[in-house]
Amino acid sequence: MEHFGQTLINLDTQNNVLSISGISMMEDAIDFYKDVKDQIDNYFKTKHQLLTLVFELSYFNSSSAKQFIQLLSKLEGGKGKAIWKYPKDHIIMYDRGRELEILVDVPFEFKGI
Amino acid sequence: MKSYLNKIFKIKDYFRRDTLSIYYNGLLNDHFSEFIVSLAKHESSQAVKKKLSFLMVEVFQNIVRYSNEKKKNDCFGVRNLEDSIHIFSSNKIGLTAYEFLSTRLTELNSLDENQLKELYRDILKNGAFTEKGGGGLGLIEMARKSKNPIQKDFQKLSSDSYQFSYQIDLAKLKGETLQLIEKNKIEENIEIYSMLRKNDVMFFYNGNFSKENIKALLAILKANIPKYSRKKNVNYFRMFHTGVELIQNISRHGKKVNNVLHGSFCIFKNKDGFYMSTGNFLKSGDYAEMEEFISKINAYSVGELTTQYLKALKENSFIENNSAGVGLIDIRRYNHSKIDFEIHNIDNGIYLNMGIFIPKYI
Repeated sequence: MEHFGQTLINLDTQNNVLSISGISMMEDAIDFYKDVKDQIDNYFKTKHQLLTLVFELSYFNSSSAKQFIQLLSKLEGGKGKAIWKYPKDHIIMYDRGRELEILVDVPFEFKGI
Repeated sequence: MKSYLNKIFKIKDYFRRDTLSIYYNGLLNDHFSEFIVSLAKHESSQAVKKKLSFLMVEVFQNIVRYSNEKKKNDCFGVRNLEDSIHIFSSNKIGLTAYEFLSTRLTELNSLDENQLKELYRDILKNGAFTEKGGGGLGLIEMARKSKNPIQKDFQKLSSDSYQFSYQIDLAKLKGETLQLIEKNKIEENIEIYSMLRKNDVMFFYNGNFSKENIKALLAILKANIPKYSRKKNVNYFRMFHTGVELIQNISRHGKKVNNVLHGSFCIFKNKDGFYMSTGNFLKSGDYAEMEEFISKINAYSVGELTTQYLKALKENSFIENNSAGVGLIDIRRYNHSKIDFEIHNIDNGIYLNMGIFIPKYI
């Protein structure tokens, strides 16, 4: 039961990639993503390189969507890009990525997997 | 669809004495029963947790063991009252199981604690007692652990099938033997649960919306989403997402009473789809805002909803309040259904019932 609804976060500073994968459905997304936002801020304080934010999710709720906008906005101004990986036959997960793309000024790549 | 909201308010009233009520009418498997056990366990005192888990698992196993129907008519319920817990189960059985269970339960109910212990030892020592894979031993354990007679009922359905219902009654205080039957007779539960079944209720939970319980509720929801033949992912997403947003809405807006965030979550199932509803006390001051907001999003046409969703998402993203607005627009746009809501003034304040129809296919 402990694996149900788990979100995995991994910052790979060697390859300049922050990945968010699994299912993001916590009700207190603000608390959960606070650390992730801090990680991005610290990354830019110590490294002056582009950061790639990789999303590989099978589900996310509306609280998470708001936090994703905040995370993505940290890459605005040419500081990075997003890669949106979605299950190939999951049109809604693709659309939900497209919708985030519309709301931020960050380049998106879409990869059906 | 608002008729479902009226139903839910009446259903809730049947369980008004309960601190926890769970009802489920559908397929049971081991994975799923784990979550129901977890849901009931969170709400029980340390003293009875272990006993309760054992009894619930045993009841689940009996359903599987004795049920002989392909088209299931199983139902399962747990009710926590002030000082007692009642586990109810009902399923169709065949003639052999009927003969075995009716005789064995009558016999067990006539024995006192020591006689039960003796019988249990005898069977362990001498082996065979039942042709049904040890179910008899389980029944003795149930009787011993609950310290109350097992309430039972058999309704003849045809020459070779019966609807078998039984109930385990357990005192909340460890070791205490109580005659609990008078407090919650099986006849009362047979009536309530058959009313729920007639009203298309597939799942009903009324209790604390703690973080652990929300997690178990979502797992139950996930396990019950049907396997769609068309647009599998889209339809699965709609149902799961609607449940997540509605349930989490309770923790955002619900008002705690005596430090408990009490609420209800119900899934109705009919031939056209599902109806999900929640009920909870509202924090003071939230009602007018909520009413205005829901009326506003119900007025949008289906075509407008995505634009409104994006607008709300953009506007709310940097407001750190976990507000529900975006989620409600989202479930309205994916289901093409309006959000129903109703307000009741009851003992502890303003009670909000909210629900939405999830068409099987859109």
